[in-house]
Amino acid sequence: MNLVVVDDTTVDFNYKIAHMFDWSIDAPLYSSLMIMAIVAVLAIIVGIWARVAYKKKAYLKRSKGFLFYAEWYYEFCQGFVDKNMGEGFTLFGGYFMCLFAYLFVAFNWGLTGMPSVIDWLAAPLSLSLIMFVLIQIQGVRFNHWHYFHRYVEPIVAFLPVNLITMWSPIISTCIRMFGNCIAGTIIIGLIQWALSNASGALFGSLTTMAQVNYFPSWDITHSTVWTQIFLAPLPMGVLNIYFSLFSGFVQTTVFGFLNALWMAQERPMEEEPKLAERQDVAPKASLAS
Amino acid sequence: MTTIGMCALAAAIAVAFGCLSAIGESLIICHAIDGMARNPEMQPKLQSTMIIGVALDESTAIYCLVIAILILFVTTSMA
Repeated sequence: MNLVVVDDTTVDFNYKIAHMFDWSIDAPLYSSLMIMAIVAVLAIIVGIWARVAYKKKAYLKRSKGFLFYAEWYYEFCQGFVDKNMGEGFTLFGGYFMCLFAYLFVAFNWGLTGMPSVIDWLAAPLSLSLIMFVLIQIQGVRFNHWHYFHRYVEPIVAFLPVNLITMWSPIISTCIRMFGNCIAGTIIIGLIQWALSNASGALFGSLTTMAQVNYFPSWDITHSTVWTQIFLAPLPMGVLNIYFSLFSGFVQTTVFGFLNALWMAQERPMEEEPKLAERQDVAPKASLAS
Repeated sequence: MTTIGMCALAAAIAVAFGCLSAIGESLIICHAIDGMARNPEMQPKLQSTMIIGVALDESTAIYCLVIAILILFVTTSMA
């Protein structure tokens, strides 16, 4: 817990963030708004840049710089949609571009020192609710009034079971995202606590020798504070590569993949073409020929 | 047995059952490696499918971990 002195009172870091501008809202909500603002500003900059490059006919040459990465990201998201969803969902490329950008940055936002977004259950729950609403909209779009038959299949008595089952995608995606993030936070926090105490115990005598020890020797946390930094940095970096970057990338992909799969499942399967229309069956020879 | 002791035991049992997902993960990876050995040119597609399968299987263990965290931090403070 970081302590910040404000107006002769000691407040928690999260309290300071939550009461920024005297608004008194949850601290991770500020982080979420910041991430949305960053992603929106980047998207506007890239959009204007791409429009100017198109007008200058820069598409005739190989793109370079930031536009190269923007094109790669667009092709990744559009290819993801085309591969996993098929026809009728082409416009969802933009939705997945926003989702992947927000989710990956939000998963790793704790690395900046600001309150983590996905550690706050409301954030993955909101994303899961958006996904749920989109799935139901696709169900109504493809099935119209037949959409309501799913709740009474196979028999009407299954209505309560189906009504509960319909919420399972929200719970599974929300808890998966939240659990992965908070598990990483707890494991990294525990190891950081252990390494800082171990470092203070091993190197604490250095502060005594350097005469910078202003705290009594029984106050281990403060008397060895400058020596707590020796053991933690490298393991923290390595752990964050797995728990933040790799795990964030995998969970973002899994969330998007499940989102795409559940939306694409709402489209009814195409019926098998009738025998007369099939191309692989040779036509019967007639007497006239 | 004290309340905190029972909370700790409940959290340990929850995480112990969550570890059973490791069996599923090992089966996923085993069959993916078999496929890659039989068909090396499909290796990138098999690898990405394997990672998605492992992440989905690991979510069961994560649910158990979240319940254990709830028991340890929320139920203990309520008690």
